Amino acid sequence: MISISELYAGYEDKEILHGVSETLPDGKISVIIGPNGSGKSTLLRSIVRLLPEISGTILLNEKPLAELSRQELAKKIAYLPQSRNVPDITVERLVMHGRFPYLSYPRRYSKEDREIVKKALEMTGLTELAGSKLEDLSGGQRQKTYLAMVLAQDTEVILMDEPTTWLDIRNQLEFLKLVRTLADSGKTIIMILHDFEQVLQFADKVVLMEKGKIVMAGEAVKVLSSDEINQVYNIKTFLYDTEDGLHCYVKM
Amino acid sequence: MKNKTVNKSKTAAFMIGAIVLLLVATLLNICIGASDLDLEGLWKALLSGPDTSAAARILWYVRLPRTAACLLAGAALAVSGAVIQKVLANNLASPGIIGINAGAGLAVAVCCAFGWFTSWAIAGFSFIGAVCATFLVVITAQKSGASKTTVVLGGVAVTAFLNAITEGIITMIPDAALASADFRAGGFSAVNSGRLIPASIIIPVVIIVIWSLANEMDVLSLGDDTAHSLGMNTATVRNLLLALAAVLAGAAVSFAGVLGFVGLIVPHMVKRFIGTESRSVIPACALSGAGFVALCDLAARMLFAPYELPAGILMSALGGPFFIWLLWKRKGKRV
Repeated sequence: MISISELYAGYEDKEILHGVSETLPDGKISVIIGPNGSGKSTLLRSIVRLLPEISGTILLNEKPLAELSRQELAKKIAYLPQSRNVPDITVERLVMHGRFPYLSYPRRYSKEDREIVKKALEMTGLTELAGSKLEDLSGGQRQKTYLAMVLAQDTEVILMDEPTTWLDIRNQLEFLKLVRTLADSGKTIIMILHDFEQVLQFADKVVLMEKGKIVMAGEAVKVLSSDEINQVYNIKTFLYDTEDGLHCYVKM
Repeated sequence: MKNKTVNKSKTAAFMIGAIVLLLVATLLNICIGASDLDLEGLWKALLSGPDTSAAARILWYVRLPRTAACLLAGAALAVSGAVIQKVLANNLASPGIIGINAGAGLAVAVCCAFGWFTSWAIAGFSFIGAVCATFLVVITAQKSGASKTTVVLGGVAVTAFLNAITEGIITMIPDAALASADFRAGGFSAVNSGRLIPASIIIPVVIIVIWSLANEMDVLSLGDDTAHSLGMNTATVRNLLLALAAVLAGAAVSFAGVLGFVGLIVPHMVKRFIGTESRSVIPACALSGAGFVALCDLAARMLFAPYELPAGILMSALGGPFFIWLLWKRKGKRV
């Protein structure tokens, strides 16, 4: 479980998060939503210490993350940033980089490392593409490859910043289904999404942010039908029921 | 898994080709010159020791040091270029971009301005100048987080500044211009075995250290955020790799002068054939860089014999068109 308490964070000359406190549960998908510039990415980057916290604490299973070394942190929390490079390497090689935190100098892979990589490729359905170059793959396959790398990192928590951006709708749903499988297998997922329909379908908990603060948090239905979400985005949301579940309609 | 096998066999074929090129270039460089050595004469001269005949003296005091210098400089500059391109994620980067040539050039101009014309003084000054300039670039970039862009911009600024001082010195003191002209043209005509000793230790050791950091280089090339989330201190690793690249290039520049294009063109050629995985690219660059420079030096000696072109000039003359050809061949693809 990740507990954030009174977190103030940002850049040297600009504080972005102003006293964020929230608890994100184990083995669930927590989705952070909010308008552009509301501090969603800053929150994720602060958790993995890409940004220094100005004050406040972040605990993972009641242990302060600030006390962990960079390598120890990488064994506990994986982070998939919004923009990713497409290096001229094979799928398998990229996934193997997920084992980097576990390698000691001179970085030789053990049998166990190779087994974990094999399993990550299987889980993401990439075994057949293991020898393919990353730049020859479609956007969806590349995204899955990065997810496989994160799986090979074998962490309790996975953070993802807008992981479905640039994917077509089919690939978005396939990707999110895979994320659901991971959460069901015990991983704690924290990700940023913009599509309310997908939030409704996949989120166990939704955190709504605005101007560096958390406005509201709770179940997707509760947050998406609240007055707060309408005020934050200046829109009107409608939830409606059909045979295959709840849906969300958004109007200006 | 078929692709994986294809990639591996391509890499193996390239490595074998590079080793053959290296051996042929070495042999030709040793045997061909103003006084040719046949294989039998070479063998005899090798076994008999340095001072037994004219052929043995040529072999031990001229050809072997010169060939060793070509191989060391080629391997060092090509590996240095590959590291710099990878670390800065910039295919146009080469040792010159982190101030190595400018630093070495200034140090040699200062050395000559003070009247210290010995080869040892020039070698020592150029090495220290190259390494100091890189540290200056790294420190400049460190202030703003040592990102790839700040290192490149810092390199451009430091290079411009150091070149301006060098130009000032050689304008004010013409003797310095004359004495440092050979250094600035780049070549191996003044090499002797004594001058090579420090570089022949530094270069192989640093290449092995860099090779052992191949994984770090590849993880760094995934982008700072990803590398960081995999537990890497990106600024420290980037600076360490740049420092090692500077030591390599500085060691080469110390006895060969400024050799343009090797650090740019050889890594390009290698990556075009075998991809960008550093564990293969580093040894492939070392082998093909060494062979390439040895062949260029041979051509520089033979093309207009009995006159000799500085190898650096020939390399730039050949390297420029070759690089343009590579760019044309890659049209529509990433360079």
